[in-house]
Amino acid sequence: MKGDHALNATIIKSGEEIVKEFFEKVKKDSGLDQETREALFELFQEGNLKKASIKKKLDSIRNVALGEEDDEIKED
Amino acid sequence: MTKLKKIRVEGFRGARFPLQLDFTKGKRSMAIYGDNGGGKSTVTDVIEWFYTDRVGHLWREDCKEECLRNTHFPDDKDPVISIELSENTLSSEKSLTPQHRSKYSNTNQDFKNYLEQSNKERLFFRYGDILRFILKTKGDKRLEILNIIGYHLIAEVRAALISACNDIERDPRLRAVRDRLEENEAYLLENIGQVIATETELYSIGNNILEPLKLGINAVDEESFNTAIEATKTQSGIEQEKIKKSSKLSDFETALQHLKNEMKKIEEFDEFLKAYGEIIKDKQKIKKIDLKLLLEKGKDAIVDQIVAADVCPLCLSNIDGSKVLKQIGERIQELEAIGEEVEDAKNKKEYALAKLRRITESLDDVGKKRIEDDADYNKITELVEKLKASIEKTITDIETKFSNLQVIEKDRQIFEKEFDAVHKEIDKLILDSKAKISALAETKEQQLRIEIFNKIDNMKQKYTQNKKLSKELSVFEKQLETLTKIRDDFIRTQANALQRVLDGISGDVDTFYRAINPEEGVKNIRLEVIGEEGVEFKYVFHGKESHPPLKYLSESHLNCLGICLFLASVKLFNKKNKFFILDDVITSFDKNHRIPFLRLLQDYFSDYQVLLFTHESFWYEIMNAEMKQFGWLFNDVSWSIEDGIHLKKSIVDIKERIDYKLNQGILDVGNDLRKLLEQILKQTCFNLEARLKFRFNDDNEQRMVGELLSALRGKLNKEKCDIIDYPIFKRLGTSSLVTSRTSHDSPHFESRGDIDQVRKDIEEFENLFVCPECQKCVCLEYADKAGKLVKCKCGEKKLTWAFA
Repeated sequence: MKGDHALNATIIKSGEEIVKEFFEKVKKDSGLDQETREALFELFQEGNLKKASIKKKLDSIRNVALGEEDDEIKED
Repeated sequence: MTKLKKIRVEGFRGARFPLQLDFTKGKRSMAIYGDNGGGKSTVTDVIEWFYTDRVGHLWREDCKEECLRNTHFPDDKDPVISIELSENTLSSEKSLTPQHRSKYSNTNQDFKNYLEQSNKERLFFRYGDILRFILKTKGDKRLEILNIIGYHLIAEVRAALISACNDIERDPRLRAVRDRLEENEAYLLENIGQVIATETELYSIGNNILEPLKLGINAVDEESFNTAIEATKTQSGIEQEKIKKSSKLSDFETALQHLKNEMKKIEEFDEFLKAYGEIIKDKQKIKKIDLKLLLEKGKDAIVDQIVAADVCPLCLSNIDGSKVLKQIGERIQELEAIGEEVEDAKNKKEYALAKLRRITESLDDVGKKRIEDDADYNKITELVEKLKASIEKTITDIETKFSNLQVIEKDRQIFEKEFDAVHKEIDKLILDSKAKISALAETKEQQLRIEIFNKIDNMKQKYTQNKKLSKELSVFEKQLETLTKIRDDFIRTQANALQRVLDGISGDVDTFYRAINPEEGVKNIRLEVIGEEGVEFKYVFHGKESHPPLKYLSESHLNCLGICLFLASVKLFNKKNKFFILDDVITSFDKNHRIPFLRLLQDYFSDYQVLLFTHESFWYEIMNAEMKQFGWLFNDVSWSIEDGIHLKKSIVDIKERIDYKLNQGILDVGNDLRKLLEQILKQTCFNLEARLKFRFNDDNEQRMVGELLSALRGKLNKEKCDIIDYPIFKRLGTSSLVTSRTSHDSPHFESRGDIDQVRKDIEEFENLFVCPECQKCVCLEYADKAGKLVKCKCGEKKLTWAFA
């Protein structure tokens, strides 16, 4: 039989594997903003990597950061 | 690897009574012949529903589980499908309850894993699936390929990252933060002469401003800075009430200034009006977007041949299917482009409305900060209320008119006119406030102290505000930068992963396509990622790089491409199952591509179990002639309302068919006998190179028996072959098989005796050329020139041959 050529040698990763590997790498990439990359990794792990969830999570990070800023100002 | 042993169906789709496909212990491939509506597709539906819990072509038409049950099947019984596989532990029944719930009899984990894996594999291919893919836009092709290869998660993540990035980039809050920062910096530049970046700068500038007051306080930190500001008040000798009023006037002035700045920048509104103006130029064009759904449904209906091939599903008139599909594809693309324009205008509308809302917030702020009980501010109060009402009406108007595609009259000029009155009043009030603040001082020194107090207080406010805004902007920008980088990296990662798969598939698509269409000028077919959004077939057409396939390939070639893509996907993705169904997919193939297709199956898929369905008897006969030798099974399927789907062993072998008919007492075998003789003559003429008059294309196939016999006799005469004088030549020459009035009239036989005689003659004739040992016809390929003989493959059968 012909045809047992290139394809059998091609290692095809599943979509899940590709996404997982990607976000594992993102989590460790110190060149990226820590909170943002951790937030995205968390959403990926929860299986909740959707536009609305990303926006909500990033909103909340900003609010927390601004809250801390307010606290600093108050403390000052 | 798993193959099918038996499929049993009862009460499902067309199968009213038990229907069984037995692939025998050899798990052999099978060809099934049946008319359209004869029940072939029920077998495909069975496989699809068993493995995926849905039947795509039905689900697309909104016909779901309720359509799976045979309408004549007893109400007290559940339709059942039973699939027996080469691995016994994976065999299972699947039933459908009256509540349309499905249930597998096999509940073990291995079976669940097997189903999960099978869902990722390519097990069936229907006619409708072929063009559906080829005609998709390149963006849809990318999505379809991602789905086929189980990369839907990648598609989802990619879409989520892209749209989250876009949304954050255009977040009105981000714009507001940037604008406010800019405004405060402009204020600081104008009033302090520089932008303040750090606390140290703030205190240092503060000390310089306070210097003329000789407070004796050196501000070095927050505490000393506040003490210094407080001292400007307490040591001024001015009544605290006046200081408070001055502070309020200063705040009001800031609010007015902010409102003025907000009103200056209404680019968002301009951008929206421009985009909206473009889309409502041709309202009909926008309304046509609603046609997209209809066109997509129409495309599916034509591709699925819901009515019939080349018939319009709406008006039932005859159409050129492939041409209409091409036109529909182009119209859908146009509508998608219009849809994108509308989406862009919709986004711009949201930004414009956010801007208008920011102006109303500034108006509110002015209202809150105005000095009460002072008639000088009545006018601004009135103007602010009026403008606020006007903007709120505009917001409602924009929403309504946008959804009704009505012209929005309000433009920048109208706004500027409305703003103008407020601007003038603001300018007046700013001067007025300054005057009022000056008036609060009784001496020049007090005036200087008030000025310094307001200056340093405002500076502190702006700095504090900017510190917070900068922090927010910095978080925003860090998030955006990170998200953008992640998005870009992800797009690259998915494009690379996709291209790896495409490369894997492309090599096989190209090989398969060229095996079916050799020497036709199409080479190097491959699927490539195009830009960020698409996947497209590319190929070299007579030496020229080309895409998309519709550009040069005919419908038959497009179909061929679709089938090759399916077969390449089978090779790549089917890790567990070693079987697949091709449901009537060869229909549009040119006749001269069909045998190469069967040879492709044999060359590249001989270790697979193939189920090949067709409604064309001619094609079925070709399959029989080519594939029976490789152990394929042949079955006929038919359907009637009384019996549902009925399966019987096929009688495509002409001799078997004649026997079958005669055993049933059917004497209508004249046409079969003529075909049998024709087949023997064609093979013999071919093997012995008997010359016939040249004819073009299909006409070459339509040779009459008499014509073939005469050519053969001529050749035997020329080669002085000793069998030429046998009486059988004479008998056949005068038989009704040869002397029928027109080339393919069916000769009619009155009695079984006549038929038996003709069969005997044909057999005698065949025995002159066909070896009883190897069953092969003598052939010039096995010529013995020295011995002046032509022989069969094994050499047993010999004819004298002069080699003239």
